[in-house]
Amino acid sequence: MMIVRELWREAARFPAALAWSTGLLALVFLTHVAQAVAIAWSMSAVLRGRPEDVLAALALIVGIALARTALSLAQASAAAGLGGRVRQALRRRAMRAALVPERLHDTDARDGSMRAALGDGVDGTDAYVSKYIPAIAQVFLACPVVVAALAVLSPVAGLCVAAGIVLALLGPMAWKRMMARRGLDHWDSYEDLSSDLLESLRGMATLRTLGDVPGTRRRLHSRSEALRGATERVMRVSLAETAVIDFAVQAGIVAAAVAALGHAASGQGPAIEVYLILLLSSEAFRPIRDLSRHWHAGFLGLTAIPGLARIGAFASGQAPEGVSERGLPESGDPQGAASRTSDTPAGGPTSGPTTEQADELRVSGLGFRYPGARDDVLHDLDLTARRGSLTAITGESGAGKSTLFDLVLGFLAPDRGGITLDGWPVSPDDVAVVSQRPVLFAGSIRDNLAVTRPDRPDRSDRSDEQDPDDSDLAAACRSAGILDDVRRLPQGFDTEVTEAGTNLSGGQRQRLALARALLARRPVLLVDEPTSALDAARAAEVVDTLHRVARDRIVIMISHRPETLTGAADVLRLDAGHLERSAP
Amino acid sequence: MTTVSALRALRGLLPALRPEWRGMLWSYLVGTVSALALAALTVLTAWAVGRAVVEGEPPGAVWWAAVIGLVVLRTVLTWQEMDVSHALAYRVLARLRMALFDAYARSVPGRRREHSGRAATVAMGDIEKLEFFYAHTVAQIGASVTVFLAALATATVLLPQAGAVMLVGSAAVAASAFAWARTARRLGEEEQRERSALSARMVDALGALREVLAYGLAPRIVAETDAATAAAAATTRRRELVAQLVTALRELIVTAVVIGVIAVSASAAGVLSGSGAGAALSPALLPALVALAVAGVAATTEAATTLSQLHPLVAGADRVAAGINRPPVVSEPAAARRLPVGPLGLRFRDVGFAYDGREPVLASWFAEIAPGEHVGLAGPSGAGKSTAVALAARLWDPASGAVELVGGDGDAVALSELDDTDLRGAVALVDQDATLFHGTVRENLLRGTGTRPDADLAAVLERVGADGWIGLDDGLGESGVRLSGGQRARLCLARALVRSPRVLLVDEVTASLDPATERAISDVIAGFDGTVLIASHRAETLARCDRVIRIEGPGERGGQAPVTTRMDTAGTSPPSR
Repeated sequence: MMIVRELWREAARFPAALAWSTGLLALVFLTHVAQAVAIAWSMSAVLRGRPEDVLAALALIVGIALARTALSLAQASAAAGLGGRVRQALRRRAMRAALVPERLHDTDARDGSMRAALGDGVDGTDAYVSKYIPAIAQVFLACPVVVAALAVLSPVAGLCVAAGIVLALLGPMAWKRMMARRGLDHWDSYEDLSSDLLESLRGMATLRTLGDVPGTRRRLHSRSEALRGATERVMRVSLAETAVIDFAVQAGIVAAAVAALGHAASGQGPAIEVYLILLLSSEAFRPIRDLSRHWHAGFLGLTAIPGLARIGAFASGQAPEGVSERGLPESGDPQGAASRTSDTPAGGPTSGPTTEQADELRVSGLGFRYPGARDDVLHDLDLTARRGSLTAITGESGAGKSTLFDLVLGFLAPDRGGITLDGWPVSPDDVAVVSQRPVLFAGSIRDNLAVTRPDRPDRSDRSDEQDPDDSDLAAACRSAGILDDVRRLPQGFDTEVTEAGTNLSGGQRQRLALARALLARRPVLLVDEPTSALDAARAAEVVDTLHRVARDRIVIMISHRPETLTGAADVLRLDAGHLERSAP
Repeated sequence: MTTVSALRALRGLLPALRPEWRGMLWSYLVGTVSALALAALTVLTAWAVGRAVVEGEPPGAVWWAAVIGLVVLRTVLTWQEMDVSHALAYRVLARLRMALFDAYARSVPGRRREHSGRAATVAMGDIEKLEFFYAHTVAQIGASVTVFLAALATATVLLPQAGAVMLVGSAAVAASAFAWARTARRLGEEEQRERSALSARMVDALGALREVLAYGLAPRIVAETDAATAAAAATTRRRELVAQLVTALRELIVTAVVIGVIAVSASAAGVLSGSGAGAALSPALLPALVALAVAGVAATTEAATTLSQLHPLVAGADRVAAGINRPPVVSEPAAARRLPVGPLGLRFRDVGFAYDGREPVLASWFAEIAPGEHVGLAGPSGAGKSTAVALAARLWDPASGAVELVGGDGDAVALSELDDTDLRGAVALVDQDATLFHGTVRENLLRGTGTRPDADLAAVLERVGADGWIGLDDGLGESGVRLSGGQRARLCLARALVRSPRVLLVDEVTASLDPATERAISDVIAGFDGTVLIASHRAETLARCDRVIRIEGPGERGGQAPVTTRMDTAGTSPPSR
C-alpha cells in the first residue's frame, strides 16, 4: 500500500465523487461475497442431493451477476469522473503557474520538460486517483467485514487471512523510500529526454544544416537509455511489491484452506461452512488483488509527483481555493487575472486609465539588474512619451532596449524607479506590443488576429459575435501592410498558421503581429524593430502607419533604421543603460 | 477504422519484437509455468477440501509439500515473468524512440510544416503507451492459451460434459474480445487526438509566452486547456465505461460457465435426478472440477481482456508507425560522389520548388555563383529568397532541376549526390530562424563538428565581436532566451565560421540589427574567404556583395514563373562560362 498524500488531498477536494466511487466499489465487492455464498450453498445442495436448492442457488447467482454489471458500470463512471476532475485541477493550477513573466528570463526553463509535466505528468496521476484510491478505501471497508465473518466460521482461518492481508499491505512499505528515490530519477530522465527531444524537433532544420543529426542522435540515445534504465529500476521495486502481495495472497488462501480442512476433518459443521471458508478467504483477498493490479497500472505515473509539485500543480496547504475550485471553469477565470496583475511591479490597485486613450507614459529613475549579473542593465533612466507623436529609441544591441520594454510590460520588476501612465502605475492591460521576433499561435490567421480583441481576453467562449468582423480585421491588416498578402493566401483569413507561424515569412509575421497589436486598442503601443524583415517600400508603409497610430496612442518604437526615424518627434539613444536625446 | 486495418496496425508493431525472441520465449515459458502453478494450487486445495468434506480424510504429506512448493514457485515465477517481459518491453520502446527520431531527422522540416508539439507527443506519449502491448500481449496470450488447453484436457478426462461446457464458455469469452471493439478504437483515437491537440496548445502557449503575457491571454489559455482537459476526461470516462461493459459481459459468461459446470457435474453425480446409482462423478471431486473450470476460463478471460485493452491503443500504434515511415524530404544518394577540392561555386539549374498545397515559389530558376564570389539575393518579401537559400542548404530537394556545387575546374556535383557529412562540412547556413540550443556557448559552437581547441573558438567569438559579453562556458537558455537579436545573430554566425565552410549561406540575419552591429557582421562576412550567398533586402548589406541577383516573386501576377534578372551593382560582370 502506497499513500501519495498530495493525490489524496486532491481527491478529497471532490468528496462526492470520491464517496460515490468508493461506495459503489464496496457494493460491487458485496456482490462478489454474495456470489461466493450462493456458490457454497449450491455446492452443498448438490452434496445433500437437493435439486430445488441447487436451482434456487443458481438463479441467485445469475441475479447477483446482473446486479454487479449495473453497479460496476456506475462505479467505473464515478471513478473516471473523479480522476478527470483531479487531472483538470492539477493542469489548471500548473498552467497558471507556468504562464508567468519569470519564465521569460529563466535560462533553466525548458519547454519540453514543462510540456511533459503538464501533459503526461498530469495524465499519469489518473490511474492512482481513479483506481488506486477507491481500491485502498475498499480494502479498509471490505476486508475487516469478510475477516470477521470468517473468524465466526473458523477463528484460525480468519487469523490466517488477516495475517495475509496485513503482510500484503505493509510488506511493500519496506521499499517505499527506495521507490521514491528511483521514481524521482525516472521522472527526471523522462523530462530530460522530453526537453531534448522537443528542442531537437523544433531546431531540426538547424541540426541538419549543422550536420549535427548524428551527434544529436547519440545524445538522445544516451538520454533514452538513461530513461530505460531508470524505468527498469522503478519497475523492479514495483515488481517486488507485486511479488510480495502475490505471495501473501496465495499463502493466506492456502492457510485458510488448511483451516477449512481441519474444520471438515474434525466434522464440526455442515459442508456449507467448509465451502464458505474456502470461498470467503479467496474473496477476502480480492480487494488486495485489485490494489496490486491498479498499482501496477499506475506506479510509473506516480514518478511525476515531485515534478508536478515543482511546477505548482498541487494546491498549497489548507486550500482557501477550494470553493472556486469547483465553481470555475468554462467562463472566465478571475483568479488567474488577479494573480497576473499582482505580479506586475505596479502592484496594488490598478485602477489606472484602462481606457483606449492616455496622454503620457512617464518613466522615472528606472534601474534594473538581472539576478546574478555584474552590472545594471538600466540605471537612472527617465523617459516621457506622449500621445500625438512617435517616440523612437535607438541604441546598440545589448544596450537594454528590450529590457526596458519588458519593464514597461511588467515582465520584470524594476529595482529602482517606476513607470506611470497619466500618473497611475502602468498596468500590463494598457500596453500592446510587437516584439522583434513575434510568435503566432497555431490556428487560423483570423484567430491570431482576434486574440487581442479588448472585450475578449477573459472569455473562452468562441461565439462569433465576439470576433471582430472582417472589415475590422481588414482595416488593421491594411494599416499593417499585410492585407494583400492575406488575400493572396489560399483561404484568406481562414488560412491555418503552423506552429510559431513558420509557414509565413519573417516580414509577414511581423506585419501580422502589428495588425494584432492595432486591434488590441490599448493606449500604449511598444514596437520593437517593426521593419527589420521588410523591404524598403513595405517598411515605409509600416512607418507611415505608426505615425498615424501615434496620433491617438502613445507609441514607442525601437529602431536602428535611420529612414524609420525621420518624422519622429523624439529620438532617444539608449547607451550603456542610460537614455540620451540624440539629434533626430 | 475497420478490424482489418486495426489488425494491420498491431501487426506493424511486431517486427520490433524480432530481436527479442529469446526473451519472448522465456517469458512465455515462465508465464505458462506460473499460471499452471496457480491453477494447480487452486485445484489441489479444492480437491483436498472436497475429499475432507465427503470422506472426512485429511491430505497426506505429498499434498503438503506440493502446495507449499507451488506457493513459493508461483511467487518467484510471477516476479521473474514480469521482470523479463517488462525489461524486454522497455528495450523495444527505446528502440522505437530512436527509430522515430531518425524518421524525423530525415523528414523535418517538411514541405508542409507541422507541429513539433504534436510530434513530441507521438514520440513520447504514444510510445510509452505501447508498453502495454510489448509487455503484456504476445507471450502472455500464448501462456493463457496453454493453460486453458491443459485445464480443458484435464476436465474432459474427469467429466466430458464439463469439458464441453468449458469449451463453449471459453469460445464465448474469446468472442467478447471483439465486443464494442470499434467503439473502443474510436474512443482511443479521440482520446489521443485530444491529447495531442492539448499538447500542441501548451507548447504554443509556452513558446509565445511574451505575447501571451502582453495581451493578458493567460487566463484564456488556462480556461481553454481546462475545457480541453474536461473534454479529454469525458472521453476517458466513455472509454472506461465501454471497457467495464465488456468486462461485465465477460464476468457474466464466466458465471454461466460456473453454473453450467455445477449443473452438469451435479447431474453426473446423480444429484439432480435423485438417484445416486451409476454416478459418473464422485461428489468429492466436485469442488476440484469447479476450480478447474474456473482456472481454465480465467485463462481465456485474461487473454480476452488483454485483447480488449489493445483496441484503444490502435490509434497510437498507427501514429507511431506513420511517424516511423514518414517520407523523407531529401533522398539518400545510392553511390555518393566526392566533392571537388578547392573553392566551390553554387549553381541553381532550372530549379522548381513548391511548398505542399501552394503555388510554386520557384520555377525553372537559374542562377550561378562562381567559386569565391560573394553574391547577394534580393527581391520583395515572400519572393522566394529564403527558399532558394534553404534549397542550397539542402533542407529540401528541388521538385525539378538541381542545385549543384561547382569546383574550380567546372566539375559539378548535385547536392543530392553528396554524402551528408561531406555536404555539411562544406556548406554552412546562418538564417533568421537558426536555433541556439540549451547548453554552453562551447557546446553550441561545436555542434556537428569535431573538437576544436578553445583558443580557436575564442578567436571566432572575437571575430564576430562576441568576446566582450559572453564566454565559452556561459550557458544559453533554450533558444537563447536572454540574448538580444544582435547577440543571437553573432553567435549563429560564429557557429557557422567555426566549421570553416567553403560556402556560406546567409538569410536575413542583419535585418533586425542596429547599424553598428550590421556593419560589424557585414564586415565579418565580407572578410570571409570563400563563396557567399546572402539573401537580404537591406541595400547596405547588398552593397557589400560583388553582385546581386534579384528574384521577383510570383506576386500579383498570380503564380507565374518568377522573373529572374541580374543586376550589376558592383561593376563585376557575371561569370561567363
